[in-house]
Amino acid sequence: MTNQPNLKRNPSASKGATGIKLLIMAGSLAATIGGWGILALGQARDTWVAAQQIAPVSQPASPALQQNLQLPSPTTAPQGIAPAPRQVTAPVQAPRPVGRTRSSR
Amino acid sequence: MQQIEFRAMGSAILITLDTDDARAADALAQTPTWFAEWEARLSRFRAESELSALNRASGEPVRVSATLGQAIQTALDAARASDGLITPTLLDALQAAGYDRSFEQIGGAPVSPTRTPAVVADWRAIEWNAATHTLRVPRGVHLDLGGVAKGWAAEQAAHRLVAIAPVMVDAGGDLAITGARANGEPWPIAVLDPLQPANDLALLMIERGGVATSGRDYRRWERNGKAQHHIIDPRTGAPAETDVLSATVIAPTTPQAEVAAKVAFILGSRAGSAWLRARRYAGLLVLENGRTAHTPEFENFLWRAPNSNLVGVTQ
Repeated sequence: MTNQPNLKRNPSASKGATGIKLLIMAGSLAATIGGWGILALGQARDTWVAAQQIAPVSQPASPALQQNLQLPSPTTAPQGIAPAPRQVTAPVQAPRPVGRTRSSR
Repeated sequence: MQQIEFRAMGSAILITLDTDDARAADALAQTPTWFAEWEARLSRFRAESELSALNRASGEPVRVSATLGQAIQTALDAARASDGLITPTLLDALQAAGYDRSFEQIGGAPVSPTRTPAVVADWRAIEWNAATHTLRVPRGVHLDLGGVAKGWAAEQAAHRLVAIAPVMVDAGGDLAITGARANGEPWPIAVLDPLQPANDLALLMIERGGVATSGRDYRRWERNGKAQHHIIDPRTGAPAETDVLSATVIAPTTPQAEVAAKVAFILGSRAGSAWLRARRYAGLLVLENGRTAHTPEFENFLWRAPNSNLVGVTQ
């Protein structure tokens, strides 16, 4: 059902910008393995990770787990193979998201 | 920048046009009507919808509208691309799982008594003639387009608006993006953290394409003490049993992203990641144990601070 559209002009950026957690990569292992990456979040109990030649890459979903994560700063850009990627100049400050993907709401 | 927000198709809709042009406001004001018309044709929850009428046709050929035809075509494309994992033939299975009314109506309330999972019919039994817009669904098979309808609608709305200005359509978390913003930069898109919905998990920089997330972190309910959710595994006819809590995919189109996210979710972290990798999709999985995993391509879309020696890369 469609109801009560709310039209905004020049809105401020989306709320909820706090807590944006950037995924970070551990460059050396990812570069050598180059496959699907998963990060052991502080505890090495990823049996399926070992079985799949997994590289560590990402940040945990939970701040509690984040506290256990100690990774070196990345030094090289990843070599992805998405369709025709092109580099763009990244803003110095993290921009406020104007959209948010999530499971159906 | 101008926006409109409303609810349609059981979801929150947000449409953004990156312009101050006065025409934008007029165009945005029309969008709720578009979604209402699509919902009126495609909803399985409305007895008077065209889809519901089709489901009552009981094996007879039916000539369908352009809207339903396009949605059917999208659903069949999805079934083909996913080897049947995403199929429109699962209405009975959804109802057997308790998803027999809109999610707003289900809420946390108990649902009807347990029924055994339904057998999901082979999508290839559907006869679709795109030239004549004629569809025949085998007797006893009933369709649901929930797996593709929002992505299709987001894409449609974006196509209608792109002549005015760069546009982003967010249909319940499935996004369609038409091109760089007016300032030439990509659109910053957050990925909601399914474990902590007040926070975001990542920030993406996307210039064009589709972004979709499928998961069991929101549309879920209990049935006889067992957790249920809305994503059916057609191999079992029941809600997918998976270690993935949510899957996010970036793809050239929103329906493609929607399908890929659902496939990765259904298959689980191991097979799902392999499926995404094989197709070079940019994907992020959040697992039920709190871990995350992503394909190499996903990193191309991550926003990174310049001093990290990493830059945002757009498709």
